[in-house]
Amino acid sequence: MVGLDRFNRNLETLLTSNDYLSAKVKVRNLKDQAQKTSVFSIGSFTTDMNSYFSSLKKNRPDLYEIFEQAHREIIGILIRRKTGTGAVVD
Amino acid sequence: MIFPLIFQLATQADQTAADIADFRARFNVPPPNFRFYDQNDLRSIVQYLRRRGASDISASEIRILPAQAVAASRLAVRGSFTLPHDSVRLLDSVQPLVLVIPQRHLNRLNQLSDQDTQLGMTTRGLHLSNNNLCLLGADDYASSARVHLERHEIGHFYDDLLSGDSRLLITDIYGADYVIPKRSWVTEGLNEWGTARALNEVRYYKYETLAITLLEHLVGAASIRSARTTGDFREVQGLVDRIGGVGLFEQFIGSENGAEAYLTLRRGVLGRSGFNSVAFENDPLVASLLTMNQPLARPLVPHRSRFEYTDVAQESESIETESAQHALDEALGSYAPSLRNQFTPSDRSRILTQANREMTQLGDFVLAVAVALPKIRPDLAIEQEILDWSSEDAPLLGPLSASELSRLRDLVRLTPNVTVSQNNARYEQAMEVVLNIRTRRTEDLRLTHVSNVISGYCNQNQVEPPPQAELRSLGRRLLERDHNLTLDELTDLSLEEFRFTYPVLAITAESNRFARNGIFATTVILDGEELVRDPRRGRQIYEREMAHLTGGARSVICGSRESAQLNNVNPIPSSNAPLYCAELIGSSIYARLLGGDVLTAQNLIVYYQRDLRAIVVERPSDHASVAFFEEGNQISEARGFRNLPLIRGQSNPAITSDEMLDLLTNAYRLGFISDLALRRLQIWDNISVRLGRN
Repeated sequence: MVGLDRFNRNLETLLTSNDYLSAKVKVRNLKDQAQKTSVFSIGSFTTDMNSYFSSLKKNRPDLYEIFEQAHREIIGILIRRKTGTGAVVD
Repeated sequence: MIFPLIFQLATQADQTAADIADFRARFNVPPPNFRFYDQNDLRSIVQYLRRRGASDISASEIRILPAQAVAASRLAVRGSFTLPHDSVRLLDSVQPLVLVIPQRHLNRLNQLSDQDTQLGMTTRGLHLSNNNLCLLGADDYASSARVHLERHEIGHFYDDLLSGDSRLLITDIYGADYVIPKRSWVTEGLNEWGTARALNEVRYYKYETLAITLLEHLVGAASIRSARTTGDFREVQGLVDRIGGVGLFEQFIGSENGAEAYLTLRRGVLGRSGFNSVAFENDPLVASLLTMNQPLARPLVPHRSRFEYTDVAQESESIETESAQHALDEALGSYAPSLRNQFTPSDRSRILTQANREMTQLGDFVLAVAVALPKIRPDLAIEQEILDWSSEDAPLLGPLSASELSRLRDLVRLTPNVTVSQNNARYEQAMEVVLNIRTRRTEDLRLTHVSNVISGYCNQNQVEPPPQAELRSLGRRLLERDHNLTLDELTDLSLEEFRFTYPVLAITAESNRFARNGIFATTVILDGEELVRDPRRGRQIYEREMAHLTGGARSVICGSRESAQLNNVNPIPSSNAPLYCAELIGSSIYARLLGGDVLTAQNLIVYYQRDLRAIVVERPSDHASVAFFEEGNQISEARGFRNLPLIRGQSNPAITSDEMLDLLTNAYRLGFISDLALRRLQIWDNISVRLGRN
């Protein structure tokens, strides 16, 4: 099927691009920071984090689509840090 | 592989046995702290949601869907789990409670501000662990996605109830069982796959679902359902590894996101017996996935790849078929969107010929055109690079100068009778210039960033920053260690390197920062070591002095006015009421009060409910003080507080005002807190009533 072939090819190219790799590092760092950031800095961290993902969604929707789940996972981590209860955000 | 190595540490036999037992236990009974709400618990639900961030939600805004309205969804989702006979009754006896709430409250619960939503961020649903609430946003619920969303969130509830979201069980290469953390994309992928399979349509988490759909084609839906139910993926692992080789499943399941996982698995099984690629391609779920947005508008070709292929002699053979021209149009549109109309028919024909030759090595037409184009029209290829620079790099690296542009265009100017190989050499030379400019400016940008971070930190904390030249050399040292540091990483490392290289300056800055927040150092001993430049020695000095500084700060915050004077430190100003009250309590609360909150008993209780899990009351000598800490003892122990079990609050987020007052009354009766302290907290009246009553 041509559609799937093209999809796979495009995905392969996207995942080797510099933009993807730098977004991946950034997202990994955000996840790490979400675990470590002081409970009193969560407010500002959340603002910065959401602003990063907003801009990714606006400028590179193709990349955001890949990292959308990670974005929601980070929000879940923050909810757990703040409330002591885990959460699955959709 | 790194992944198994990381988790080898957690594979001790006893731990594994305990984990397996835990899986089994959760398989048959809900965890003890699982809370089941029903339709009559509206008041508790409102309170619960308010505590979790929807602070102004009211009961009238919550719509609880009747059980019969979600029965079909519940049964459908239940069908995507494989349960032993004796557990089916359990699952029938516990039911999700599906709530529809206004979007703004859902966004608030999901940590999105109004600004985020204005920027296009949105959420659809939420399931908070350890209870049966499934929250749906009113916007999505009103759309055609209603059933899909409902089933997706109910799926999370069952996941939470049955196998938990955190771990999965596989075997290591020696066949021993071990438990690894379950990546959240796996949870989402399994859940959306279950929902999408039943409804024949994917709506959320495209890549995660695609990865699990591919897995389904390898191991069958029944194995996946069973693994999803119990968290035991050993059978699935065995089936995948049999097709793609040992370790493939672990590599797949350890991928960072769904897109990587899908490609990893696809590469591993493509062409292997046991994988029917035609059936996969014809799967209606895959077709549904492909109708969602296609990834990538323009392929990003690594520059070096253009020079790594054998030179080919120029040819004028043309391929004029309609489909070839159409494919070329598409490829040129991807690679050189702004210049696609500048290619003459002769250029197009030569590029097509060259691309067909490149195809033998590259196997991808778009990539082949990207490689062929500079060999035929290096001038247009470099023009595209210049345009890309303007759109992507200029904001950070600054625009190319006029002389740089003119040099680049001179390098690739076309002359008659130039061979493909000569063109390629010109293009390569021009790209070398572009890369040099980029490298030089990137380094300059990073060095400036390091200088700015350190200078900003120094200025903010009222110390003179070191000279710019020294800061740039500090930055070079960092970049020599790792050329690939991002700006964010550089920010952290710059401050660390600064602290260890200039410990005296850093300690002074930190001391000033503490003082600005009303915390004064008792002793900061600098020992005249200003000339230290050895980072290892600097680190020792910095850490030793910081220990003094934070020790002093604690004694001020947690000690009394008198003890502050006794220790010859500045007491916290009494003119500021919140600060004055803060003298009584831990630095964490103190930090919050600086935000302008007024400390009242109610606030304390709110803080407790919102953020904190334990109350610790301390009586150092003649003075009582109260500190609140996060759950667990690490923080309080690290700060030297005694934990007094008699009056420590239960880890119960639903503690009420009455319970809090009981706690403090008890503390007073046991002599751990003075009436003065309670008066300052403005709750003495309440306490005295309780004392009289008792």
